[in-house]
Amino acid sequence: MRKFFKKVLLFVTVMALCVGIGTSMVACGGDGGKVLIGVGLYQDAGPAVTATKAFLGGLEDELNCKFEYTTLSQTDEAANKTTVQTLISKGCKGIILTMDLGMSSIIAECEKAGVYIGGYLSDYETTLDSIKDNDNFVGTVVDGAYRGTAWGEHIAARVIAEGYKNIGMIKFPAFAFPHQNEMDTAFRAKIAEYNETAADGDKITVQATTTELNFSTLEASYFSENPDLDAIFAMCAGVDFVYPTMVSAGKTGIKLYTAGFTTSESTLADFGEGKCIQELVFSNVEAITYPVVMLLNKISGNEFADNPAQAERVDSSQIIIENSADLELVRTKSIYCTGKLEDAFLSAADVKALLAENGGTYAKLVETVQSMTIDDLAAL
Amino acid sequence: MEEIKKESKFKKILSAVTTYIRGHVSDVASYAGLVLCLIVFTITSNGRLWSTYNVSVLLESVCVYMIVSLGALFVYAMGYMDISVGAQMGVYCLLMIFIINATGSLLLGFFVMLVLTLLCGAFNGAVAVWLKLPSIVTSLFLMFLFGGIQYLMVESTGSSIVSTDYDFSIFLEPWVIILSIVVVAGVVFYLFNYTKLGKYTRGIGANELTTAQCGVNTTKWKVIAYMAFGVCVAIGSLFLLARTGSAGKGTASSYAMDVMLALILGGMPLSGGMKAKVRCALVGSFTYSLLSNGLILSGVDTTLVYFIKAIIFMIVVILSCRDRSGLLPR
Repeated sequence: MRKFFKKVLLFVTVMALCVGIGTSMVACGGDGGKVLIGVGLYQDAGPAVTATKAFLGGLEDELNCKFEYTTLSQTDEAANKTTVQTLISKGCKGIILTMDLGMSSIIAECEKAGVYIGGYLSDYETTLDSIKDNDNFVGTVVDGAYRGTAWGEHIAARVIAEGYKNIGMIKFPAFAFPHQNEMDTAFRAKIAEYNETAADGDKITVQATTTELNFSTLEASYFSENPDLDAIFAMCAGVDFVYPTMVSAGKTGIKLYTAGFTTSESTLADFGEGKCIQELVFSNVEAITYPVVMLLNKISGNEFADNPAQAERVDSSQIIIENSADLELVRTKSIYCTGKLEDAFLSAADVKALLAENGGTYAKLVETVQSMTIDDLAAL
Repeated sequence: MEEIKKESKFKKILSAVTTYIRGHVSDVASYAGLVLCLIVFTITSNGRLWSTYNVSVLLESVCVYMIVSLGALFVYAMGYMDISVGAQMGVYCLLMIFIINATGSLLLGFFVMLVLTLLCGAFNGAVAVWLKLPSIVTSLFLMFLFGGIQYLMVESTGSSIVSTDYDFSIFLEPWVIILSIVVVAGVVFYLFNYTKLGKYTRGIGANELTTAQCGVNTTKWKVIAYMAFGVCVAIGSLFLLARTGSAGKGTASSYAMDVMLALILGGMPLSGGMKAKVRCALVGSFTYSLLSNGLILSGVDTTLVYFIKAIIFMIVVILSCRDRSGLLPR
């Protein structure tokens, strides 16, 4: 028993020493007056992550802030809460999250710690209604458009114009991406409208039931179940989840219209007229300007004159690549591919000008994140 | 003459210290690991490790690891392991949410969960003995079973996450967390050191045949050990659920490995036996949580955290498991 108490005493002494040193270090330490903002991303590597870091890194000095990066779990809400808690412990005053898994406990934690939360490339589908009135939530910018109708109709128009007759349909599960159902419905409606007036030989057949990928690559058996396809509309990230199977199954003769993007040269080599991949789409990393500006306004105690009464879900414009010229433009002029800050739609000074303290308005901020299309890129 | 006496006294002390360290490598390594983590992270985190907020965060995360590890002690002391605990905890959290949402009763939810953990414990212990299977095989079966159930339970809701509005805030109060850890640790300490359960489980780990030949019904004690683990899993699951009030497909998925790592970091020999001690769970869980928290606070890139953890884990395993013949134990 004496031994046990000795151990406890030793442990308590070490702890007390550490607490003492720690407390004095906190008192002496700091981040040079810079506002710390945590950024929780859904993955820890890849071109989107590199571009996001390059863009935010370029803002740090001008906005007098520093960004701390971490990776979120896509399945474990307790892990996400721990991640947010660690960011708060590091001294973050604002946090940007790319998903809302575990949000109710996270927002409660932020309320307790006086920290603000903003969303990036996420629609906060399951939680927005419950947190939009919370003073610690500043709103979220969506990965493209919240409603998927427009893109579904756009792809249908392309398919009709390019004369494909047998179309495969692939998407992610509805519980994770509910708006892909809208894309699906809009696509089918447009094709049905075309079929009403088309001659018998020109009618388009669409796969009866859309295949759902549970975040795993497409099974090769898909092609034996759907043997006569001449095009696939993959609403999910097709370059990662569909195209590899098409390559391994020798089915690159089928045309692929899909969301997502890659910087892989071998995949991009199969893009364009007469090749497999016909359309790629990605969201601009510069859309993160929305939560950054909203958070900095909150942290500095400033507010836009036209600030919305409730936190909002805001659409962002996307880069839609439809042909080789578009792809070349993206490869040479987009921060997503070059990783260079000078290729971003917005400079650090542009972002600074959007802050409320510099006369920025909410309408201008929203307009900015919705004005970054392929045409805007060409005009830069 | 006096100098020679002094020198020989010094040599004696040095030899005594060396002998002690040689005989207690795992003890020294686990405590040294914890102390080293405390000192290093205090410095590298600029003292943030000890901010009031971070201490409460650490407490919250260490609580689940510690309670589950304390229960796992009985299983690991026998030289066995249970890799189904993560999937089990995920299902228990979901089940508790369903029951609370349907009845509003946390007590009923906890009671159902407790019964299930006891049944699973009995299954794990008994089936392994009756079918003469390694315990990891039965726990592997349970892991897949519970993983499937967890997936189906979430899918049935049509959402990626299931949550409850029940107010769990009392379970996040530091005094409740500390009190719970102290009570569970006290009970486990008593059971492990002063009752047949602890003695026999360690005996089974040291030499099962000898223990059986001493007249001990090893089958019975194995089942009891697994059931004791089950009780701790139930309590741990309650605290885990209290953290977010929600659960999904991936809830608690990493706990099986985390608990194993925590115990090994605490100096628990994988072969079980007499060197299994309550402090393995206490020190190990604390070190493990400290590692996760401290590395991030120190500014280590998240992509490197797993890599650094793996290296530290490997060093501790080599230090604590190496026996005098220079070989790793079975």
